[in-house]
Amino acid sequence: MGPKGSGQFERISWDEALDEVAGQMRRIRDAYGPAAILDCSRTGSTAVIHNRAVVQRLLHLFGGCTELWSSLSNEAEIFALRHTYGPQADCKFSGREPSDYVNSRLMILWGWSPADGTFGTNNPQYLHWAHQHGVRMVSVDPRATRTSLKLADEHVAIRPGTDAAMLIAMAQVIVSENLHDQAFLDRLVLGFDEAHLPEARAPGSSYRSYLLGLTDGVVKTPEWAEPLTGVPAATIRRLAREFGTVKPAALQCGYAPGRTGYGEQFHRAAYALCAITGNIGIPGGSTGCSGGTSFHGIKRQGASANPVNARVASTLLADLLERGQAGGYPADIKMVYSACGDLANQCPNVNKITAGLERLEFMVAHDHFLTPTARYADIVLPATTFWERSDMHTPWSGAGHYVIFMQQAIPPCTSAATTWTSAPIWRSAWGSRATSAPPDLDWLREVCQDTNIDDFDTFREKGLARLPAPEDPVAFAREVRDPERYPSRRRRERSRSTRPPSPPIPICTGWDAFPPSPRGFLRTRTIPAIPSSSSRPSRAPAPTRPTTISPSCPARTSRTCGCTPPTPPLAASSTGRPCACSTSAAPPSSPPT
Amino acid sequence: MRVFNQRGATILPAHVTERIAPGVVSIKEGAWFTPDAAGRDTRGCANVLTEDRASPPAPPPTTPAASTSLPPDPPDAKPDMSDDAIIEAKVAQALESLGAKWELMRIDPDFADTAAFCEKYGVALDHSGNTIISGLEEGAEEVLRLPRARHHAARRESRGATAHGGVRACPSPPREETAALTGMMIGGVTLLALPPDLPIYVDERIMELDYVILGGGSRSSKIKIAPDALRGLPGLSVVPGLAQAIRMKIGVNLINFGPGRSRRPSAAGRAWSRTSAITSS
Repeated sequence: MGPKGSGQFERISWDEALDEVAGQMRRIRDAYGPAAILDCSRTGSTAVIHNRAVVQRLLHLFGGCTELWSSLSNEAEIFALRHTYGPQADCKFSGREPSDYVNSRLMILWGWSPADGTFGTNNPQYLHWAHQHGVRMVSVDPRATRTSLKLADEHVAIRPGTDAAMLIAMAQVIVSENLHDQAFLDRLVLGFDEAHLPEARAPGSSYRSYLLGLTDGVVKTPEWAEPLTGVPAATIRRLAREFGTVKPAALQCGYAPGRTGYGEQFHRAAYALCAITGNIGIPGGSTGCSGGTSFHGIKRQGASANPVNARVASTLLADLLERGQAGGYPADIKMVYSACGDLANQCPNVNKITAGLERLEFMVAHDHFLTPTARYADIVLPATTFWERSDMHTPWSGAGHYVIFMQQAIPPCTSAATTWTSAPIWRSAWGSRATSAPPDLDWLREVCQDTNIDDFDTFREKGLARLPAPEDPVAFAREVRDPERYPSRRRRERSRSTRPPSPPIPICTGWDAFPPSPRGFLRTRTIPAIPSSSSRPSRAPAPTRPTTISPSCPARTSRTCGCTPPTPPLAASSTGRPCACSTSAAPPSSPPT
Repeated sequence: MRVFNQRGATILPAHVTERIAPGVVSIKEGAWFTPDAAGRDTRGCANVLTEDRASPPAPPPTTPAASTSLPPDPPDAKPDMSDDAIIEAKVAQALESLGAKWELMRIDPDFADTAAFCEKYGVALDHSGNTIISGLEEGAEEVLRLPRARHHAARRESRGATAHGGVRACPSPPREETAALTGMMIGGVTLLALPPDLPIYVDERIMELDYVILGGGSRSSKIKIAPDALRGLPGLSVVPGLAQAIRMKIGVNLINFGPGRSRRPSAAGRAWSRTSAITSS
């Protein structure tokens, strides 16, 4: 038992450990309130039943906790996507099928390197296939990535953080040379020109006015972008003409260019370029988002709602631990519960985080390894690996339409290690000593009942179930094809409120204002125009996002169902609380990056 | 290679390659945080360097206690230092990091505003850089500003209101907001030691001067510095005609109100020293 962070532990029995954890949980909840417990569970396991929701379920039924929201991988894209394609748009299902790559004539891979980061199973192979079939590929990245070296016909080295400027300059070339798809824009896009501005938008705030400098006097030419981006104006102009004239052309964006101050403007500029060229919703085109196309139908099991309304952006973990209520956060954190996550290493400012973890009164971690996070725990509970339990998994990011069955290969290695789905902690937390058989198989069978898997036993035996491919290989195809029949969510809402229906894709500058963020050091501003990130080369404080959207909280979109909870009913009912668990259509969290 | 900033340090192997844009370094995801006895990471954990900020920022915390006003971040200084001393120390630190020669002038706080300062200490208006922070209001894009002769008075008197000739006055933040944002008092605001996120725009006319007088953070000091040294500031862009433009850039604008360019070095510009040059007159 060394000091926190030293990684020196002594082995104790499960009973001792569980009593200690449960006792501390009760003590901290009773002394400080449930929000003093922070759930630091994450995406270390993203299988259908063994995932972070296990801990969420425990803590929510226990009285609630402070939870961390926001994706560490691509919050900028999630934000931009929901602004552009509507609040229902999901970053994992707003792209296109990898099998559609071959339908493009031109692909621009922007900060996107599947050969380094995969981005969906077998993506590099699909890219290779497309390239072999003559799809011209251009890579825009500060680094000549493996994808660049292997597949790109041209590599454009751009200065980091200036991607939006180049996209804007490309849009300017396309619009000023009249290469844009005006018919598509008139039909489906809001805010491109002055004739199609959203309501209550000042004249001059259209994207076209911005590009041509009609309002601010600065024409966003390639020459304007060259000193910002380090890319020669001639290159930008040539690439823009190519993207404007070759159709279908796809812009495949990665997450990295958006992972900076005002990063969402990169994504908005990318979507705008796709809209201007009319490439959205057509085979071989793209939305500017690099996910799959449609939801595969297998839901990762979620948790019930958190009874405590306390949520903090995960990037602020260090500050939350350090300042607590004094910093405007919901609570002073006294205890951290961490399972399938290593947030001390993954969140920014590690030194500040570990200093905060040292001050905690108690911390428990479930893990296979002594990660940097687990080293700071008071108790580390050994979790089972995927060899030691049964589960199901779907491919990441909607790429591929199948489910694999992860058949348990061996019994848990140490006699003490129990699968944490059966959450031995539960019985101690409620003072019950009831034990439960591992519910994995029964539960998996139940999960499959609402899906396209009609024969669970065959699925389990074969280990693989193929699901039907989507009707369209690209996202938003039917909305673009037939907007009257398939209006976007945004449009439906507008129709209901008796306003005239408007096109679904808003790309105008200055879209929407949001509530202020007490964490920002400036006063609130309207969400800045797409170009702002580039016209202000330094990082400026980014706009706030609406509080109603929670990408990583499955509870927001969950519905109560009759699933068997993973605990013995005795344990749950002894608290007098209903033991409702829920299935969730929540967007899958991103994998650890 | 030891890679460090104010938040932490880590050890990384350096690899020089032509596979990256000139002037760019890339740190991959990194490894597990593995501190040595002194707490320094030894395995290349990239997140010891990254800043804990949300982008787009988090929604407001949801408890009532967290609703509106927040205390500003504590300054990195000793608690017994006065506010002025803290900000001046920060400014001096920022100047040192520029690596250029500069000079601190102690002045009478009553004469900190540009016009009064120039008159009292015999400095040409041309050489007096005005740091104006603009566009931090809700809804602001690049904002309209009065013709420059009117500008100062209007800014003080009619923030954001329609003023002369139907032109909206520059909505600069009021005194308290400026102080909260920058830690500086109006009259002493400088473009040094600002939060790292503010874009900085400098009028091209200022860059052509042999020296420029900037605010020193507090009202009792001014900084004299060769404008070229400012090029080292992060996020700085030089804008032609900023002073004449009817729109201010959002962010920090450095302009002067003099009649025009003046390349002739004035008395204060001839000699450089590290100590106070102007005392009083």
